[in-house]
Amino acid sequence: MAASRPASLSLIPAALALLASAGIAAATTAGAEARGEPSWVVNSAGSASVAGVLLILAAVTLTRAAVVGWAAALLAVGYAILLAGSGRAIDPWAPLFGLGILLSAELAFTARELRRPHASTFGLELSRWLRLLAVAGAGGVIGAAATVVASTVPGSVPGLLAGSAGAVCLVALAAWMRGRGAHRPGATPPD
Amino acid sequence: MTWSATERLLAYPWLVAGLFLAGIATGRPELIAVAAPFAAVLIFGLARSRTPHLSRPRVSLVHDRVIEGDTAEVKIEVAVPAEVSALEVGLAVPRGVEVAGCPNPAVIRRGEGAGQLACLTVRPRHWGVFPLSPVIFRAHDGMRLRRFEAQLVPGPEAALRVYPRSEHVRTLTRPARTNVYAGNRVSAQRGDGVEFADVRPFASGDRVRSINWRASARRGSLWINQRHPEHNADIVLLLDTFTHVGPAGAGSLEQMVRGASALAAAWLRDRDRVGIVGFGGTLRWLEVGEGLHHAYRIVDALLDTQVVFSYAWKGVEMIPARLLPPHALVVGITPLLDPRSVTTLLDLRGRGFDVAVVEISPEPWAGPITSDSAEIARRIWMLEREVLRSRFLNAGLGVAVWREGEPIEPVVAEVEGWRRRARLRFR
Repeated sequence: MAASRPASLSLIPAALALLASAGIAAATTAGAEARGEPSWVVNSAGSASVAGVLLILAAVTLTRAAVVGWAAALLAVGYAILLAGSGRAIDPWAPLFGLGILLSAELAFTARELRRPHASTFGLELSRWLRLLAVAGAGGVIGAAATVVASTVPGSVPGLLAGSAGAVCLVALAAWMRGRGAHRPGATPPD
Repeated sequence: MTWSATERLLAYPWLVAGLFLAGIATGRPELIAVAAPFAAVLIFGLARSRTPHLSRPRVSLVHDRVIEGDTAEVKIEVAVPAEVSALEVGLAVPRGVEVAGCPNPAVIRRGEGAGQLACLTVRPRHWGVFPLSPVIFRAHDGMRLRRFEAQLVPGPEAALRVYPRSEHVRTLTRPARTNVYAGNRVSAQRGDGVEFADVRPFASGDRVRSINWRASARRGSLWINQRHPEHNADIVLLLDTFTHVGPAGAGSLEQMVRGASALAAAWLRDRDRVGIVGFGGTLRWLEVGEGLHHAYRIVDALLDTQVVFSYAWKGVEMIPARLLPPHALVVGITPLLDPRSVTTLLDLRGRGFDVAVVEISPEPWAGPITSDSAEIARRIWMLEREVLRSRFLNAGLGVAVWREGEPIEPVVAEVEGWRRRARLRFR
């Protein structure tokens, strides 16, 4: 039987999650200032990003996993505000922002999972993270490719249709998962 | 195993969908690029996620009978399904039981040992019968998007019986009268035995070895030594189960059962016959008996002791006559809170039974005194209890107060001391 890790080990992913989210917030604010955006853009993007960082902090300290999703959303909103004020120029760093937000969310989830007895060891955790980084990296590359295609072929009708269909599918998936998430078979052991 | 979505699967689709829609609506492909890593994790994770199937897990207790304070091991045998890398095995512990020295849930990795066995050590906080709780198996897929759970409910026969840890009592209350059966107790009667009782003139049929030669030489005729035979006695423990005071698991009922267990074991060691009468809302009993088997029967009967609330008036007439053998010593263990038990003890004494009372003091559970009027009420209550004790003593019932956390032996010694003094006084 694998011995569970002590709770103090959850501090490492928690600190890394905070660091990653703070880096995203700083990059968003610094990017907005560097581009000479209006103050409302800088303030709004910075506020949303800082709120995201605070939510990550709340998630890792209060072990509320449901907050992590909102934190990721706020970080993404901060970046979206930055884009809204930056005219029509394509931002080449977008996939990295996505990877950073995913990384901070996963680290926050992991910190929460490590604070309770869990079915994981260092080897399992390492292989999971390698797989996650590979998949997310592949996603980032695809995202970058999509950005390049969109910038070279503006107003693509097939792209618009594919994106809309994907969004609709994801909304349906999210609604279905909400139902599955509420389902808890029987009693659950203590966390 | 049934599955449910983890927080990741609840959050990521909304986030990706929102970014996709925002990207399409605003014409910013960067937002889709931001969503792409999340979408990749979702697609890859869900595509590789398979619902695992547990093949006949088994749950058993290594020892199903333990003494209070000891630990018991719950053995869970399960094969980790091929679809997941590890399995969490958790025990929904019932009230009064805690998991000791091991994580709950425990973790079994795939391919770790041949047995794939998890042992959870549980420690009951007090005596009683604890049915084994459901065992929950939990696993996650590779990206931790789906949580799989299964539950195994053990059968009703899987129960942990926790016997009270009774103290070793050496000083016991001596019954006033004994039986005719052989035992360790010096009888007041005269016959064959060890203890010298008296001398009497020789009669035809007396054994020569019983002649007291000194007395015979002094008196000029043969005199015979008389001795006290060793007999056993009948003891009936009358447990007052009308009321329970104190917290569940650590109140007067638990103290009563612990005391009854210690006293029964001590009297049985002295080769006396011991019976139990649970006198409360329902009447439960175990007739007098002796020996090791009876000791186990008594402890099992004590485990089932519980307070059943009832308004019905119950008196000594409710107790079947065969439960109270003639010459039996009746030991009432009671908090002296219910008038029915008080009246029954006095009635038993009135009917000629030898009765002693161990009073379980309810004072520790009376609650904090928060006002002057409460303090006055407490003092009046204490005075009333003192009057009740005086009534008992005047009726010839030895009574001593047993407070929580104290050993029972001094209490029994106090009762015995009072009985000895009373016997000398009334002689």
